[in-house]
Amino acid sequence: MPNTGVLMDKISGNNTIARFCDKKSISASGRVSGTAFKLRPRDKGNLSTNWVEYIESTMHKNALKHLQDFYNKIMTDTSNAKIGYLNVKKTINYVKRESKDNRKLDIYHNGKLSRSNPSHSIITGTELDEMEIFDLLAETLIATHNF
Amino acid sequence: MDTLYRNFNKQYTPIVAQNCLTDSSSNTNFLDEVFLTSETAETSSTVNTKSLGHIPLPCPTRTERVMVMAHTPSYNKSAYTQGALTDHIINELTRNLTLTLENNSTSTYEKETDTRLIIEQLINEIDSPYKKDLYERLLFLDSPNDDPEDSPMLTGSLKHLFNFIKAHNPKYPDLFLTHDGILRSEWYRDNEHYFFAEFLPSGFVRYSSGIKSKKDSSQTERNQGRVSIDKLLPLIKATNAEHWCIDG
Repeated sequence: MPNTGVLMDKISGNNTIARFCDKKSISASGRVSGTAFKLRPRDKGNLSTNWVEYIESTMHKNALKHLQDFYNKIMTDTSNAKIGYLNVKKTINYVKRESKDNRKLDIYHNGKLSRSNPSHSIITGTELDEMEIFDLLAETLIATHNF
Repeated sequence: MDTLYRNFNKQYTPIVAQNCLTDSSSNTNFLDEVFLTSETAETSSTVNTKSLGHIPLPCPTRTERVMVMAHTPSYNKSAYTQGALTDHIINELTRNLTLTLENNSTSTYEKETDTRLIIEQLINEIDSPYKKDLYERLLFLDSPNDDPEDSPMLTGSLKHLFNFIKAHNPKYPDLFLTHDGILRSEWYRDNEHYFFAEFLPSGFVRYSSGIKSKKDSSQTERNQGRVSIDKLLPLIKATNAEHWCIDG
């Protein structure tokens, strides 16, 4: 478990997480590149996502609408961006099966203590500049939604 | 600078300033270290993300009140005095940060140079059927980022991409910009046939490739690594990606 000092729960396999995909990570034809999953130094090894079912069942909100509103607030522009959905089990299994080192990813809910982003979740198990893993994550997208 | 203003005003990019000092020779105050920060989702606390170095602070404010501060909905006070931050202080600090950023060519928020001009110069040097599409895509990638913390396009990356196009006339790739300003070229047929290359300003290329295994068609052979740009074409050939990357 990553050491963030915050209570976290592992998200079970049949759940869905969402990732903001900026406009420059999307091809002219609408395909999302692995660049949308590239870790930033500030991520400290934890790739930011949001837990869709938490938004719906605990926050009692429409997940897509909530995420659109949330990203509209923190991003400069979202007009050409997308929100990508990933299934937890499919993502973990696919990356483990397809990566050269059978990489084991974990996905945690860590938004419990956050007032601004309570559905926040993270993918752990990747490092900076691991193109292969980011590209595999992009391959596991099950849906993308426009703003 | 609009980005900084907008995000500051939206209260999603708080500013933390530390160690307010006074230059006795000029009798001016400055902040020894200033960080643009993001509110971490899990704790609502702040983490340092970008150091902006010394920021002059000639605004008429009591210096101790801005020694350590963050401006967020949940935390809007000086950690030194525990007093509330006034709009005046925030506006003054924002203005001084903006002026400093505008005058600081090394800031990661500043574009290195007029990238559009370089794109126009480079595009005129190539003779390619996808010249117009390439030009339009690069202008799109040179537009302001969605995430205000992301870097603008690096001209070193741009020049190496063009050098490769000029030298080898590849098929038209999907082009992307990474958050650190690197141009990424993706020759993608499907999830079992692709070659992706990030053109680093250093003249190296970070790559990721996949091709369906000839030994076991249920498997995809994937590779990633880093090579100097002169080794890129041999690498494409060695990974059998030539037919969907290179014309002819």
